Amino acid sequence: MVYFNILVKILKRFKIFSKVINNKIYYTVKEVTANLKDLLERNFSHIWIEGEISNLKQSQTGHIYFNLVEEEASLKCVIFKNHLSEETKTFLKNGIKVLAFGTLSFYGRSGECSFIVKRLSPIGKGLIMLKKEILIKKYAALFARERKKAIPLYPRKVAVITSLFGAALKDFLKVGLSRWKTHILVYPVRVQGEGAEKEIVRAIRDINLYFQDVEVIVITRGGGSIEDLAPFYTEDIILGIKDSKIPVVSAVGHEIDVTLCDLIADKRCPTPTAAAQEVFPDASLVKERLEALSKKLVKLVSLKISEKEGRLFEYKLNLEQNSPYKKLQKLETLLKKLNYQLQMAIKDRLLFEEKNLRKLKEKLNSCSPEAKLKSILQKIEFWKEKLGYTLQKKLELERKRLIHLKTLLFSLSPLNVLERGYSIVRNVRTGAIVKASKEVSPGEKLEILLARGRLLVKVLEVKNGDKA
Amino acid sequence: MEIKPEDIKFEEALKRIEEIVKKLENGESSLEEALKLYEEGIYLIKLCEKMLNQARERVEIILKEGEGFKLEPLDESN
Repeated sequence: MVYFNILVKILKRFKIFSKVINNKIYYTVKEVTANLKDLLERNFSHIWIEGEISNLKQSQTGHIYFNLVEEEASLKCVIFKNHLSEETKTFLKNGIKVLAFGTLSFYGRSGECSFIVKRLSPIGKGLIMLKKEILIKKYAALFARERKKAIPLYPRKVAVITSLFGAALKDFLKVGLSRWKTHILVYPVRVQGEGAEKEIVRAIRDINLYFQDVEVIVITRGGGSIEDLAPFYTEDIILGIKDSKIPVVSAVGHEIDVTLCDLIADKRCPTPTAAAQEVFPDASLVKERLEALSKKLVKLVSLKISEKEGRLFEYKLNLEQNSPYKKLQKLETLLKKLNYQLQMAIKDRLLFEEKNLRKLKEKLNSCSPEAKLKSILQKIEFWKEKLGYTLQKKLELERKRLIHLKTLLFSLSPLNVLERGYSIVRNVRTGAIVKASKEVSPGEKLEILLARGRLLVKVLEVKNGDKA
Repeated sequence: MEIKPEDIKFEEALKRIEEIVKKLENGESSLEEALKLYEEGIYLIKLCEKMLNQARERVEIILKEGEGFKLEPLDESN
């Protein structure tokens, strides 16, 4: 027991643990974590650790968390925001092999051990990536979109720079030829290993120099490790491709790998198959397109024709309406109308004037001396007739009276008296009727008128007395 | 109109056809022009179809020979 107490005293002095209850020496959690922290920081500070980055994530506060892994072993890491350089950011990716410099620490709160990273250097593909970033910065101008040449849509000759033995060529040819029948040249090169980039650059130069009818160059290889793809991350590749007059399509590695070759090429495709799809149009689609265009052309031209027809018809109507003939006709009609109106007007006027004239004439006539004369003459005639008539009547009357008188006279004629025995004595010399004896002297000759015949006698004696 | 298949690239022909369609769609061309364009378009379409139908696939390998190159058909067994 004495021994135990001495031990406790010693341990307490070194502050390794604090409590003893029921003869049991024990640690508090805090004590353990603090000791662990102390232990770790003393033994694992400012060290380099090699490992692969995985489970990379950035917290909202800007700190970077990841695991450094090696096979089944894993170590939690953190890069605090203030230790995160721009350069580090460029290659900080899952799967990258790095050398990390920092200090191991223990976090009591989470009970976890963390490697606090201060510096990070890529190695292997990480190194390749770092070089890549440097080259990208150096040649940024060459990767500009404006420098990209257009890939011909319907190439007649295509050159492929690749390995004869890779699956890339097979995939590319299989897909390409199923889409578009054309002439393909294969320039065989090594696509991995030391110096492969030089072969590729030479191929580009040769094709540009000796196969100028090639319309597009395709550089391709299948997927592989970053180390396998190393030739495509070289400065030589950039310089070799940048001056190609023929457009270059790059399809190197897997979809996730973006090589410098991809960047400097005029077109990047993720895989050889994708490159074939990019370079070779689908003939069946092109045929469909041609058919559609043909139909469209027919439609458009018939539309045009019908439109023109319509317009022509319009023009025709318009022309007909505005034709000089039509105008003439209109004018003629107008002329006729006017003529008619004129004639009517003249006629009316004439009638009016005639009427006026007639009136005047009548008026004049009524005032003319001839008329007066006539009327006078008529009157004269009238009177003349009347006179004639009266005269005749009178005459008639007179004649009737005469006849009457004649009858009367006849009845009173002396000759009638003679019948009754009376005679008339007339003086032959004077012719006078002798009524008294004194009118006669003896010797005178007398004529005695008898009822029948006459007697010429000579007076022998005159005896005067009143009566016979 | 006397364009032979070897005188014109497929791409140019197709581009020209599309140009013709666009021109016709604009409707600004005269009837004569439109008919001419139409004839040209149809001719080019026929030409393109001919080019498509006559196209033959050929795959050759570029091999170095002395100072120059020779072409050899790709052997599928490669």
